[in-house]
Amino acid sequence: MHRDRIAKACEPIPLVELRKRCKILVIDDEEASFPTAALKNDGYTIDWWPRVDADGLARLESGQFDLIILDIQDIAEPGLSDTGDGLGVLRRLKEANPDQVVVAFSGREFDLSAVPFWRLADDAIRKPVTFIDCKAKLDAWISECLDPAIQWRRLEQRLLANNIGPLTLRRVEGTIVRAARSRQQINRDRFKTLIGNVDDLDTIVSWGQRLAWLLSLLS
Amino acid sequence: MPRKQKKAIEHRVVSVADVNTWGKRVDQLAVLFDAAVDEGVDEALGMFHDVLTTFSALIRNTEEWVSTQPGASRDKQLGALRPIELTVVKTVELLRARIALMPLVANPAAASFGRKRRTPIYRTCDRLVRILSPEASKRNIGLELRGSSYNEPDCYDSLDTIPLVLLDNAIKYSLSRQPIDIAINDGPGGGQVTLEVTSISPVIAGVDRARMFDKGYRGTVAAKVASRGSGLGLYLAQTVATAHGTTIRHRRKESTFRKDGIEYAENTFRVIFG
Repeated sequence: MHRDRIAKACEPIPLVELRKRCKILVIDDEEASFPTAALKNDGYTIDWWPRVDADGLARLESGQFDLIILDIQDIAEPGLSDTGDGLGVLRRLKEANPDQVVVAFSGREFDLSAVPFWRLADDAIRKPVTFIDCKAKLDAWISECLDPAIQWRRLEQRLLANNIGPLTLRRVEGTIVRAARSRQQINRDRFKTLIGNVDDLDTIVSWGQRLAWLLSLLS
Repeated sequence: MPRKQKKAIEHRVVSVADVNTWGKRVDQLAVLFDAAVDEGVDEALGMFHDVLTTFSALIRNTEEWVSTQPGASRDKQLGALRPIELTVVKTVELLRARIALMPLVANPAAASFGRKRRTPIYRTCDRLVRILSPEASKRNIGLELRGSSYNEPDCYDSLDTIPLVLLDNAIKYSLSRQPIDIAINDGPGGGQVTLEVTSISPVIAGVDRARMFDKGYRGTVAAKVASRGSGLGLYLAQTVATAHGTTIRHRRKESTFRKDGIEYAENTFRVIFG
């Protein structure tokens, strides 16, 4: 089975180790809302920003963080987004990188105007939140973000949706494994030659590069 | 309208222009009225948000306090607390669970926010039984959790609402010194889990049965048995059930006996997840 190569490329990593490797950022004007300090003490690599400015947004758009926990109110510098709040920041992040995992974090579920914020985010954490519930949510996302098997399955489904056959799937998998071992970027033209000039080419290349990076990190 | 006034306007003829003007004024009034209501609602919800901020601080402080107790795990740390301290912790958890219901009243769509995840229904109910046990104890009611369930259907975070409301209602309306039975079992279909909450409580029949899931409806007997109640619990639980593609159903056995003029029977609320 072609997926064996991805599985063989790395041993299963304990969750304790994954927590250290996954970079998480909490953006909330109220520090006490999220148990950041307690999670840090528990081994998570987690930062907190009270607001996002232009420089901060550029860092977020570059994919510096694996997981972003984002509040909706009073977290954006004026003029940073069309809505001036977390929804605008979320839209910009998703436009820059649709794969960026953003978890909506707010107590404003009652607010009908905030529904687009909740729907656009990848997941939701409601305020007030307990330490245990945060851990459960974060661990689920960390496992997914840093699990090569899950990331490969996602990429495979996208390739199959573009009518890529089993032989080409094996070749794609081989390209990713080799890129991971040599710690080099995947060549976009190489990918294009492999799978053709499909509509999703940029997304597929991006996912392939991320998967290669993950494998190089975890092998 | 007084008869004299009626007579005065009888057979009066008004122009189409006048009617249109009146219509426009009513529309303007409606807009002003909606704006005033929205402003009032915004103010109230804004205050609610402030309460959430304060409550977040309470949760953080409580967690920090528990973490200073002796013990390598949270369970051991909770075990080190005195009974009254443990009750405080459970009360904070219960308050949090109840606060989580409130946004659903204003925005039922919130029931499907976030991503569905595999959910251990048995463990969820076990946690709720533990935090509700002090409330049940006040009425000498035992919460008996039984069954065998290993399936983990995909559920939203809002799922907690369903067992919370069913247990809360059972505690509120059950006869004191009667156990409440909570049965959780896998099935009927593959990957599914069935939750049943059974209690000896007032007979629900007729209009009450037909309307018990309606927003704001309180049964005719409910107010006699328990003075407090908003009539929102079952409505919210059913809203969340709908978001999960399922339905809460009720059945009862024939009336067992009568007390203080109220008929009691075994009532069961059943819901299937997955």
